[in-house]
Amino acid sequence: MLFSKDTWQEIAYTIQQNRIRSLMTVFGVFWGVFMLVILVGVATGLQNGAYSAYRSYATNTFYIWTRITTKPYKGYAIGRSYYFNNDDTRILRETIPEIQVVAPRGSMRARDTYNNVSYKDKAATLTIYGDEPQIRDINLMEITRGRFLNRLDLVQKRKVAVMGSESVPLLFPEDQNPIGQFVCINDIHFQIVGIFGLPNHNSDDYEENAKAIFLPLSTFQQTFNWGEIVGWFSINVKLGFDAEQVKEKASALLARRHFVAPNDKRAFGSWNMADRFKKMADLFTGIRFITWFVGIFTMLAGIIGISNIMVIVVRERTREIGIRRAMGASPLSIMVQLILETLVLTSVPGYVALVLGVGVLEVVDKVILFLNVETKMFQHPEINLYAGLGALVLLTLGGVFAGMIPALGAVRMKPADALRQNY
Amino acid sequence: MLEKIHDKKRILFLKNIHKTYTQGNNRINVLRGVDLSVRAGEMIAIMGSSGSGKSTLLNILGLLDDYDQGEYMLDGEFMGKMSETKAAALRNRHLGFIFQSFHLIPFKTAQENVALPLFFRKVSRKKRNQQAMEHLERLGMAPWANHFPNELSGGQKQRVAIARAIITNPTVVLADEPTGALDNDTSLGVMKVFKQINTRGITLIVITHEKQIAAMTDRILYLSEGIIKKSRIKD
Repeated sequence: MLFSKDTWQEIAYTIQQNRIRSLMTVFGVFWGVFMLVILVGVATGLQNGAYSAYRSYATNTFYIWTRITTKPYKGYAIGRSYYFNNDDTRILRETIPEIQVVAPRGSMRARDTYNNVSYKDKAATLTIYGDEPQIRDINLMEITRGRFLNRLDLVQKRKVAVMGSESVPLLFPEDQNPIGQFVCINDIHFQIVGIFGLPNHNSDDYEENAKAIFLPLSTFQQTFNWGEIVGWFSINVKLGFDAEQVKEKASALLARRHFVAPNDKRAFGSWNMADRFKKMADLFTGIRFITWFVGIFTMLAGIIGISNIMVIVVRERTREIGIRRAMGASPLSIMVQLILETLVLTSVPGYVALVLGVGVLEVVDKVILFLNVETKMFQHPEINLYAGLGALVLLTLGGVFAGMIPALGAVRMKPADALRQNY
Repeated sequence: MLEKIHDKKRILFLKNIHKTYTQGNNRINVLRGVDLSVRAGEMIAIMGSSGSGKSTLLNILGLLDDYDQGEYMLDGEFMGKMSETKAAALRNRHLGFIFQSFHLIPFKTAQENVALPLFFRKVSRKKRNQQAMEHLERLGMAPWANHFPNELSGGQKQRVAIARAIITNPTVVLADEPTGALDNDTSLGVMKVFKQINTRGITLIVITHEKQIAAMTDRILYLSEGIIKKSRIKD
């Protein structure tokens, strides 16, 4: 029946009979699906924009640093400065199993200095980080030339440096390969062994990180008289563990080690990326829910409109249905015919709307790329394949349901009654 | 018992058929115990005044409506309570219908209308079109095969309806006022066609108001107040 020319001929006839009515009806479904695709696409675009700020980081991460104590404890006065050290790094790694990576860091911010790095006759003001190789597990960097810091650099306290790609043109001519060259940082020479780029241009600290120079932490500590001091820890938590809880555990451990009152929360500075990311993810979950809710109900309104029209169509065609039944049409064949008609009225505009909606999103994406618009909060509007397929499944089920109600009404009536109808 | 009847000559048998309609709080007894026996190849007319239950009886005979009480046997098969799917299959296998207002599907050509019962019999498109054309030819309607019903005269429409009724080679053709919408000459033409069909062995039951039409059948039954009161066999 599905592949019978008669079936499709009759579907075409029904639609043609009332072109305006059919058009207005299918527009309801078209608009519902189109709006769903656009809404989901825009929400995804917003989400992509917001998430892109986190693209350079492992999101299940927190940062912790020391501040001045605000409570006296064990004979120590209030307002005491204290510092993390290399032993803290070891203890954190050894005692907290939920931790995946501990990356200790020392830093000299560009904002606190001036022309601190030079090469030949050129000088630049750059942030200097002292890091261990593990930092790359947290702060995602792409090595574009050479290599990153390694364990031997750390152990042998080599005077090597890895430069951010945006710092290179500040010191080197365009045609010169910086690898193997020596730059002078605070009057001490370091050999450039690698250049890195950052995958994300959207993060707030992109500028500073891209213009940074990374040195082995041990070299940094020794060269710049930091001793055993660590500026802060970047700590990545294993999957399945709550970063906030691990942060509390690490804070408690560090508080004990540095004689900080257990209730002196202000003695530590911290920033929980996982928490921030989770809040944002929750926000977008909410936005997605609202988007789908509005979209699906707009689509359902269209489908219900189709169902209403089909009830009228069936009423108009009651006698014709009676004739068919007198000729030997089974109730099932009548139902299949009417459901197919409804499916055409729902699925065709639905599929067209889906394709058109995806097309519009694609065009918007291309226009953004073409115009090179700086869009931190809106990137790559799209609807994923599963969402699209889900909408189609829902549309098809909706179409079957919409056709089922009038179709059941049509076959419940006795053929004799149907033949008597005169609409 | 009715099931025990195996009289091959008796194609259709009704015993004590009752049918009641409810309209609001009123119950209308349309058929009050109809007994009817029709032999294979017979052509009979059922006459009666308006509201006498002729169409209801035809609907019951055509399995288009159910009855409240009684027994009905068609071609040796007992028709009791049955699913609509089974009734549809029986209609397609045994029965042909001709209606006063033709009941052709407006968006199908004459040929497609005639072929429709074969579609429900799952006959291939080519074969059913070929058979439809043959039937239209027999009824002199071949030149109008590709015309739509609104392009045909009343008589032509009724010929198309007749072709549709007999294309499945039914056991019984039921005609409800088949000449009611036609002029005299056309009516006589249609009855001639009925006669031709009847000579091929198809049983015909015609409901009519017109004595002239009824006179062309083998037997006339008079339905009054829901029962068959009189039966007259043509001399």
